[in-house]
Amino acid sequence: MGAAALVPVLILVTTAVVIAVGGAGRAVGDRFPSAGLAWLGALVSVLACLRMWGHRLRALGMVDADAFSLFLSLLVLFALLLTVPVAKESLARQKLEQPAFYSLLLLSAAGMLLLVSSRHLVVIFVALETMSVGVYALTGWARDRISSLEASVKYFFYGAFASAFFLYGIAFFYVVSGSTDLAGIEAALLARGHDLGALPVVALALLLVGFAYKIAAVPFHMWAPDAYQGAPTVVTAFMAVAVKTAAFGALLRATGSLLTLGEEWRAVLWVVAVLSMTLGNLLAIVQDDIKRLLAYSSVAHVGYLLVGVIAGGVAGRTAALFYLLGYSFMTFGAFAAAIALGRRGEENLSIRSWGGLGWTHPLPGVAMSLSMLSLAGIPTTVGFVGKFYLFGSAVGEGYIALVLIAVINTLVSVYYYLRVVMVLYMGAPVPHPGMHPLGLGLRLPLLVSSLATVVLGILPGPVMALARRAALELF
Amino acid sequence: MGLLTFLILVPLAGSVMVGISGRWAHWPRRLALGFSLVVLVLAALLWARFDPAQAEYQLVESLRWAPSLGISFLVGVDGMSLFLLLLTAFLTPLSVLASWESIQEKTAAYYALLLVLESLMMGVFLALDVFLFYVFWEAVLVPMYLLIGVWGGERRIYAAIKFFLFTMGGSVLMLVGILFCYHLQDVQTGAPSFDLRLWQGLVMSQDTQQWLFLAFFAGFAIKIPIFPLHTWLPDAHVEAPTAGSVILAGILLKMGAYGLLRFAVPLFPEGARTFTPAILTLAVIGILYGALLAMVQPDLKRLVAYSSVSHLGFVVLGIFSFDVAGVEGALFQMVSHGLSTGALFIMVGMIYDRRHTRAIEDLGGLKKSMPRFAGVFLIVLLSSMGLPGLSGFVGEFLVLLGAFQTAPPFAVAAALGVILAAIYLLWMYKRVMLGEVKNPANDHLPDLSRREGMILLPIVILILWMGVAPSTFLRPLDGTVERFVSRTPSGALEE
Repeated sequence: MGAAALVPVLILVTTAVVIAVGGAGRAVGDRFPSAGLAWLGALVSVLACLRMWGHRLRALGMVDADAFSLFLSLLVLFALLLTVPVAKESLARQKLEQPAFYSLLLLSAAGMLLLVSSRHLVVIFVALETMSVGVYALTGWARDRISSLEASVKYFFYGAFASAFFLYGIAFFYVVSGSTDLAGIEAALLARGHDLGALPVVALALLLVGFAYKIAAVPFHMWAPDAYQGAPTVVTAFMAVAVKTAAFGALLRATGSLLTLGEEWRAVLWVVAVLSMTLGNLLAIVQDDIKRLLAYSSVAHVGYLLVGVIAGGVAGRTAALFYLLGYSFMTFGAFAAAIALGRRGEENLSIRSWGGLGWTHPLPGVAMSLSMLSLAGIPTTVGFVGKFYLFGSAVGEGYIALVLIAVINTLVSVYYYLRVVMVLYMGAPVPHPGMHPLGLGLRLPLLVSSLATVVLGILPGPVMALARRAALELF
Repeated sequence: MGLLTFLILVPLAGSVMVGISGRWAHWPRRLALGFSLVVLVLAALLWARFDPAQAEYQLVESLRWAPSLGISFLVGVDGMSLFLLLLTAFLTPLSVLASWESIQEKTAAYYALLLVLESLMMGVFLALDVFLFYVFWEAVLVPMYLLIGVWGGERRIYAAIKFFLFTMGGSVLMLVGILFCYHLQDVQTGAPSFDLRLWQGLVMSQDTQQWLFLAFFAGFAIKIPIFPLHTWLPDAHVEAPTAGSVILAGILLKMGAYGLLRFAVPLFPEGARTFTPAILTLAVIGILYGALLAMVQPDLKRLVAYSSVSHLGFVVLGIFSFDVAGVEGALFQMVSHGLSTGALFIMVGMIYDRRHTRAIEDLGGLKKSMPRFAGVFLIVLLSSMGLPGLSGFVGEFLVLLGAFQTAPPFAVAAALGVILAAIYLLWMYKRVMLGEVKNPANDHLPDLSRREGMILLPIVILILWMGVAPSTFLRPLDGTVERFVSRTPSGALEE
């Protein structure tokens, strides 16, 4: 027993409190090193996670620190480590930097860690809320921009809906099984044999709707483009990477136990996956705002990820976990590059206005291009290996039609991803006054995500082995 | 690490060097030339070490890559890939030289991409691990896309994206096929592997073979390209810079034919047999249709592009004749076409450098001021036409010979293509080179410079060599092609 499994979460919470208290009442631009503290907190939390790797700890009977939760926790923490320096640099540009920002960032990350570590539906719910509340606030951080506030409100309302569905699902499960623990529910339901009745089906449906909202799967994706576009770009990056990782991780864990209840759920997920990738890709084609484009692309990627869930088994879940990791790096790279291409004092997110910038701004140009190629699944990038393994696991389970639809979708997506590369390197140069000089806060994250995109694409073996070990925990 | 790995790594290392040499004006092209010449030497070394008597893969190198997934860095060479590797190593330095003056902007990136492309093409022809092959195969698209899109002509962006989407459209279907084979391999042997040699032992039903063959065929047919999937080719060729066209026609198209020879047919012979009549029909349509379209093109580069469609039809015809002569002819024709069409694109580029036009009607009487140029042009053209004594003849002759053995009606129809080629090529020569100079701009053009001569001379020598002493180039093919034919449907019938 003991609370050792909670240490990474506690570190984040403590750091958040220190920043909140220490930074309270200080003016913007004050010397309180909130970003540095936040980064340090994340780093210490990473170390704590690494120390626990290989041990199986359980705290309070509800929170597990097994390979699965540690793998995803580390992913979230890496996202945090990348987000903090970018936030420092980009918020300073827009004069939005405040200690409370980092405090909220850490708290919501703490929620994510909890979310991927729990097998207990009530804890999952609390964690989901902790994560979301922080992100709602961060989405509206640019208070003088109406679109930011709108995004925040929209995100909040949709999120509240999702929570309600989720909570309802938990309640139904409790009615059916007398338990809110995933293992307990599974055992209770298995004991009932074949005749499950309607309630568990309704419960699972409600739960899945809640998750579908959080991961922005069609038809519960409507909030994503507006929230992505309105939020400060660095928040969008964090949202796209960490929130998706955490929510998808929880989904993987929950489905691991609950989907064994009936095969028909695969059919439902099949439809959701196909709709997500198809609609996401088709709508992304017509976008000019990079954030909206990436929002729809993230919807499409949920579709690809669900292919792994549908395939199931060790292979499918390993593939999904590996793809989440790859997706994190390539998506973060894209957002960071978009920030780096901003003009002095304003963001510059219209793809059309990036003509020829790849030549004058090599680092963001290359990072953006690598991200795009990786998202499109072109070889030597992690996106290719990830898709290869995802689709391979589905072929292995006999889902040929699904994979055919997925690869045709990939082909469609190539068109809009390449358009970004095309504008950057082949577009007519647009007069571009006053670019920001790039500080280390952007350079390093750009470098790291680009390198990760390529290195993991060429040498996926070791990380794939880790993902496999994490996936094995689900059985 | 052995010779084969170096063939992939040296150009890659070169591209990095070239990439960072951008601040010194003339260094990118010098370094690119240097590295591509080193690769040429390595390739020559490969030829010297190649044992023609052996039919199996030689100089095989294997490195663990992702063992849990059955992926390895597995490369090897046999008669089929040997000359395509040599062709790649030969055409790349020429492409660098052909770009020497005409590429003035962003030279470091340009030459770096050219070397990346060389490295990836080497990888395509060397890979014996299907995953590795697919990685190289797909990755080739990116540098080519950039070469066309950044340094191309007016409609370059349209051409570049069309090229990318068409080729990738075929490849993703092939990807599904690869994943399925991988799954079969896993189920049948219990050990996941992408090793091509192991895949040849897979047991498949007739139905499965047909589907898988179609999936692979889709990927390769678009690249070759086989009618009616050829529409990306004229656009890509016309808009690409000269070196891009040379590599596109010289090597990239061959990747498709190579894929058929290496993967689609040997892995799924029964599937191949089912579709052979249909494919032969498409090949012959391609031969005639390409030739007819070439005849009416007003633009020199478009004419050469359509002639490629026609010539590659012969290659497909040869492959699907499943006859030793036919397949050897196809391989010979692949190399010969790479040389002659490469040279034609280079020379069209030279005309463009002088006149800034490629429209046939603007030209005429160029022979007056450029006699040496006209002479070389004629040799290359005659080779492309299939004149005995030059390389083009051997390939087409063998292909027709093979096709007459197994598919006579198709051979007869294809022979018409040879006549059509003579018509459109000679007619073009007449309109461009001969006659009076009507347009004063065509007068007093400088003849071949020393650099230009240096580019063309090796090609002309090779064209003559291959035409006069084809056995030098055919003997290393024998073993490999016999092995290929013995695994094909007709070979199986004979046994």
